[in-house]
Amino acid sequence: MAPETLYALGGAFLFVIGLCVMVAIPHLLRKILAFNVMAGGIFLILVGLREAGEFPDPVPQALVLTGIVVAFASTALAVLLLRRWFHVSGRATLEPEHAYAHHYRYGPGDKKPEPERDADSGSDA
Amino acid sequence: MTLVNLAQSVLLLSGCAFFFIGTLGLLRFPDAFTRIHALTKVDNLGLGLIVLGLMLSAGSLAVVLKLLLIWLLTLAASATAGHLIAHAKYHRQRPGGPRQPGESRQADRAAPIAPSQGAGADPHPGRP
Amino acid sequence: MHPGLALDGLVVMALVASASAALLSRDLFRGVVFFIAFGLLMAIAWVRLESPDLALAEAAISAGLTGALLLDAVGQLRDPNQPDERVWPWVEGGLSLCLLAMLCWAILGRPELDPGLTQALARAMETSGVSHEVTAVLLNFRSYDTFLEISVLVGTAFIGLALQPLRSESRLLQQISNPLLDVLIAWLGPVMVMVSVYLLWAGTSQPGGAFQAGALLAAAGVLLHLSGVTLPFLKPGLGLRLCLISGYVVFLLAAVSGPFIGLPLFTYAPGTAGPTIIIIEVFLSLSIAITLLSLFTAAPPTGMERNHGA
Repeated sequence: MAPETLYALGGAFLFVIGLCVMVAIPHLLRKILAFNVMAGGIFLILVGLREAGEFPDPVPQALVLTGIVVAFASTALAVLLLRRWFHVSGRATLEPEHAYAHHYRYGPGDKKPEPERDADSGSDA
Repeated sequence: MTLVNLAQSVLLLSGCAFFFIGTLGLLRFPDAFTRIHALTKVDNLGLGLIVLGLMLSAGSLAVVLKLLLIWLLTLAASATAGHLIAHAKYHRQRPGGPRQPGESRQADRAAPIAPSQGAGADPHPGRP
Repeated sequence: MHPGLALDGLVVMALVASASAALLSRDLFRGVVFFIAFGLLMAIAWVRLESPDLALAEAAISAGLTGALLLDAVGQLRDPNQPDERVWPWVEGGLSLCLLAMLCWAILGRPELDPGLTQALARAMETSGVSHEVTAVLLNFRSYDTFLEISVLVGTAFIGLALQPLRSESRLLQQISNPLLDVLIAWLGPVMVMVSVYLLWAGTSQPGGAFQAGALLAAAGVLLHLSGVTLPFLKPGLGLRLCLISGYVVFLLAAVSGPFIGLPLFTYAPGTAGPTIIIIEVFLSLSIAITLLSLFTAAPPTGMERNHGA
């Protein structure tokens, strides 16, 4: 199997994972993350679909370059809207409160999250 | 295999080995200060070795200087980032420092800042 | 078997693993950190696919700017009293698996691809004014797409600025006043501006170009902003608006300069393609930098206000 086809298959995986999460999980920031992952998958498919060993085609590269910048602009606007929504409503999802509590189920093997005291939650520097 | 190729292989492989050791430290060390120690020191040394290995097959002096610049920039950025993270973490954990929602005072009293942390010298030598 | 196939297999597995960890991890902060790692792995994937421009852009924009933006957002959004949920979507998972099977079947069983536009591009390169193919495609042969992209960016910037709070000092940054950071940005700021100008100039003959240069400038601005340095040119006013639309206007002027001479739209006068492209790229990178930077800084006030109500 050519390496380019491997990347195209990986791009298909990424697209499907992103789509599944974007549809299924109600938290808006995760949807934004999933959107970015989907975009990355599509870009990999676009550039990866070429004959093995050939000279890299510049036209898909130019399209993907445009796509990367536009994806960032969309993500930035989405995060801006999300923070505005959070500031106004106090929630990070679009579901009403009772529907959100219905989604609050754990899968097998999860333990309830406890407030971490140590290294990992250090984002508020 | 020429001498240059051999030297290049040794440098690149040892750089990768240092990165592996650094990642092992990241995964196994107990708290943030020791992990920063592993990341900044060991990974930068690994990067320096890899950059040296790449310099051996660089085409011109410009490429050599660019590689050196990459290493110096990474050194400066990771050192500053490590310092900032350790600084913020220390000031959050210190008894009397700003408390995050969810943390309790019990945690501060139960596990005070031990002097035997791997973050190098004690940042405030005069403090009890 | 291709010698680098093992490395490519590792990169693809790491991509899938980091994307899954980014999307499905319980802690949002951990997810965003994995997303930054995903961006860097994508940059490595682009290098393996022989696209250095994409690697530069992905590292700067997706790993750097998007990562910083999402970390900023997570810092404000995370509420420890509201735990992240974890659901097992059976229906969506099943349908996604079917879609995955169809996509893999399509990718693996594709018919013979025609060589595409590579031959036509190689024949037309001397009239394009630059010697790097991707730049030629972006700014000469497919300049309409780039023009539409810059108009999308300008529109996004104006929407973002419209959502900005009215008070000019609204962003209550926790001032990180640290001497080490001050020294770092005193050295790193000029270096980043210099590297971005180099990337812009090198884009005519090597991988580089306006997008990477603009992204690097925006990253320099984000670094200054997060270090507490006030950037006076980001206050809403005439200077900001001029910077934002300059790329669009210059591109539009270059595009309509064709019909004045009798050529179609988006055709540059023969012989002037090189200087035109460079002028467009300069204003384009300035516009992109200011757009990305103002999208980053136009955010609602920090969580200090959130804790008191809402």
